[in-house]
Amino acid sequence: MYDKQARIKLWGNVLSVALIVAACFFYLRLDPLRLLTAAPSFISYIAVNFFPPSTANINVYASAALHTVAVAVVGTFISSALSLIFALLMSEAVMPYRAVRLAVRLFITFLRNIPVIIWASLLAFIFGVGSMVGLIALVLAATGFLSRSYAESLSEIAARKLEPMKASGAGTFAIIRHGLLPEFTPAWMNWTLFSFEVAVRASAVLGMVGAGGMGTMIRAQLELRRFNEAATMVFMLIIIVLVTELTAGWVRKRYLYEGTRNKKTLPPNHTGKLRAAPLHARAVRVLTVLLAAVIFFACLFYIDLDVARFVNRLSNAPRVLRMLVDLNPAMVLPGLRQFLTSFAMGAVGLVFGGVLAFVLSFLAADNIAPWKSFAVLIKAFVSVVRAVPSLVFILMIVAAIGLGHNAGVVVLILSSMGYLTKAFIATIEEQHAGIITAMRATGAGWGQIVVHGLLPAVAAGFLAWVALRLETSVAESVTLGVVGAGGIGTMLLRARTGFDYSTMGTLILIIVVCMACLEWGAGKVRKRFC
Amino acid sequence: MALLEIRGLVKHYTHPDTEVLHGVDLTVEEGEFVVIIGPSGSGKTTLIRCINRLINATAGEILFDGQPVNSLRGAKLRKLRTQIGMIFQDYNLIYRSNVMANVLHGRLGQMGFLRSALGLYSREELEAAHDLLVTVGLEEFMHVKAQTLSGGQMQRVGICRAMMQNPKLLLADEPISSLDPASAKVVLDQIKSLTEARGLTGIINLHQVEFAKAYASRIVGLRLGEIVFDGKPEELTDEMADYIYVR
Ligand SMILES: Nc1ncnc2c1ncn2[C@@H]1O[C@H](COP(=O)(O)OP(=O)(O)OP(=O)(O)O)[C@@H](O)[C@H]1O
Ligand SMILES: [Mg+2]
Repeated sequence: MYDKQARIKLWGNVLSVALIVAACFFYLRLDPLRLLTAAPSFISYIAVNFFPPSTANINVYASAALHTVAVAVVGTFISSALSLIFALLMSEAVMPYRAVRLAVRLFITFLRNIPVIIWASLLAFIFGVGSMVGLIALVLAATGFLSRSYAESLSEIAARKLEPMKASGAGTFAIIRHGLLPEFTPAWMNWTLFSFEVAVRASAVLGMVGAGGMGTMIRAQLELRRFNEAATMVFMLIIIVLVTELTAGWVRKRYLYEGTRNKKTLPPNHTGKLRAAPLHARAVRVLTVLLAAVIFFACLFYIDLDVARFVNRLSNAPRVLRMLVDLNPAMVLPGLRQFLTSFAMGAVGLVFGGVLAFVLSFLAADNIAPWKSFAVLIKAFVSVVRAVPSLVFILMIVAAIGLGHNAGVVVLILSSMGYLTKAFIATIEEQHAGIITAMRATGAGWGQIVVHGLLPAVAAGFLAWVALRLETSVAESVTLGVVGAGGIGTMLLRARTGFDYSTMGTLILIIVVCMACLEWGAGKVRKRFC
Repeated sequence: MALLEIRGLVKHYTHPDTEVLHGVDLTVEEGEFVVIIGPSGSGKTTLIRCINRLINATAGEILFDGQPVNSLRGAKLRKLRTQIGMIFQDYNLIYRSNVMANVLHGRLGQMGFLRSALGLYSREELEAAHDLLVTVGLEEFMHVKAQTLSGGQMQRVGICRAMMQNPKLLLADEPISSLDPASAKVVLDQIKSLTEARGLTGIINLHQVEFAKAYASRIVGLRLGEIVFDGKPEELTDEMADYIYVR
């Protein structure tokens, strides 16, 4: 009885998702045949045109690559510091005034829901091309993301933990310093490293809308159809991203899990100077701070910010801002329609990418993979796909299959597939080994274990990942529009080219509001499945 | 003059709308070791937290050392709290900090802004913390992260933290209910001997009648927000204990 009902509900959900996807397909006038043939033709196109990568200008590219990483480092440092302040201002334990907490939250929501590329293109429009613009765009977007993440982690630190200090008469500052911050360190590190990984990718593509660095070069080479040159940079980018991820993973392992072992540090009859913390711990702390400072300043000097020019242009800003906020009501409906297009592209990309990821993850997860070497191959392939920012993908694909919705959807499928495969694999590998062993013992095959053993266990987790990805997928879809893949991004691009300030302002507002609604809705869905 | 005088204490919660304490009167003299017993929901936690104002009372009066507590705010409230140590059921240690730091946290309320912000503890404070750790037998764990300790060890750190304040009054809210019987006994022994050695006054919430009888100098029975028993441990009959715990 119950079982039957559950099954009807499941198929109902599957059917409605299929209907929505079909509707998006017609709305976007996608060509299924073209989508299907896109992958092989894309691969052969790349194989023919991009190989071998040219090594002629490798020095120039290497310095651009360094610049990309340096911008990401500086941006992450600055946004991490800003976000900590904003997160504390949003935390109930620190800020007693509800109005302040809400105001900060609203501001952060605004920052977060404008994709980084839109920030960069807006700033480049106001201040002109330059490294300062790229850095600020990065900082704004990362601060939006980090502040919210930090705030969530801070609120998870139980108020109970801070009660002893409160009960002993300690002031708010001492409670933050000795109670809140130490407990927050692991989450802080985790979010910041994650944000750094994102920032490296973002920093690489910021140049595409005129913010300098690697992106400017990649775009120029692709548009000049100098594919072998472009290939060198794309390879470099892949390597940079992979190295960043490995480093971040190493730092996580090294520092997040230290001190979980119970080791006594003193012999019972200890004599000598008493300290709150052992000397070596203090030395490590001081050295870490020093190292961080050195890295920060080295990167800061390397990127050689064009501060003077930026400050010169600063006087322009109020005038441009005034024109931007002079909204154009006639553009609201067309803007919303174009956002719907962006949304539809994001949704189609997500669903197809999700289906591919679903299949790939069961073939690649360590604990269930039927062929080990195939699993390794899939994992490597996914890492590479994940490492290439979708803006780079689209410029490569445009060269192969032309611009438009088809190209955009192919890229969105690829990036959702890359992200979700990794997430799904992690979810499957977290499952208790007992499930699989027990079923193997009864003689069940791969398909039976997946369908009857793993699927029920991972379904909710998968759905949560998909809901989480929807926002990102739509944001990426908006971003792809900025180079001409259609949707609200393309509309924004046209308004920018025509110096149509009020339309630009209107469209950006539409993006913020729609993305915030989407985030809110996806959050609801996520809560139901977690 | 009594160290603590509570008169007609009423606590009314708004969510859900309930009155939990209906006019509690309690006077505690210096040096007493009072154990409050009572069933779950009888209001023990509420009562003990009204004393250091982690909860604000609805009506009634609390005098600590002759000073009215309920009207205190800001710096004066913090000053009051420095004189009252508290031990928590879930220890509430800062896991990422080491044992020594957790003990020293007890001093934060009594340090100047700069010194507390920078964590600059004086030589005397460090020595006092060390001596306390020796007393509870955790000296060798001094520089170990708090999260690696067992429950019983954590609560012993919690005791040291409260003692670091050099309080006049020690409050403890079910300090042993998350512990196994052996560690529970160690913890209670240490609370008792430290309060005695320093001539402190203690008010302890406990669930277990046997423990209350063994350690208390005076037992208070709370039932449905009213004090139904107040006397010496030997005066607490089995019938009385049953009555306190009957719903
Ligand atoms: N913040 C609150 N809001 C509303 N009601 C509360 C709140 N805190 C406690 N109560 C209620 O007040 C009553 C007394 O709670 P209290 O925690 O003081 O009891 P207790 O004797 O300490 O119980 P236990 O032995 O379970 O710790 C309970 O019915 C509880 O549900
Ligand atoms: Mg209680």
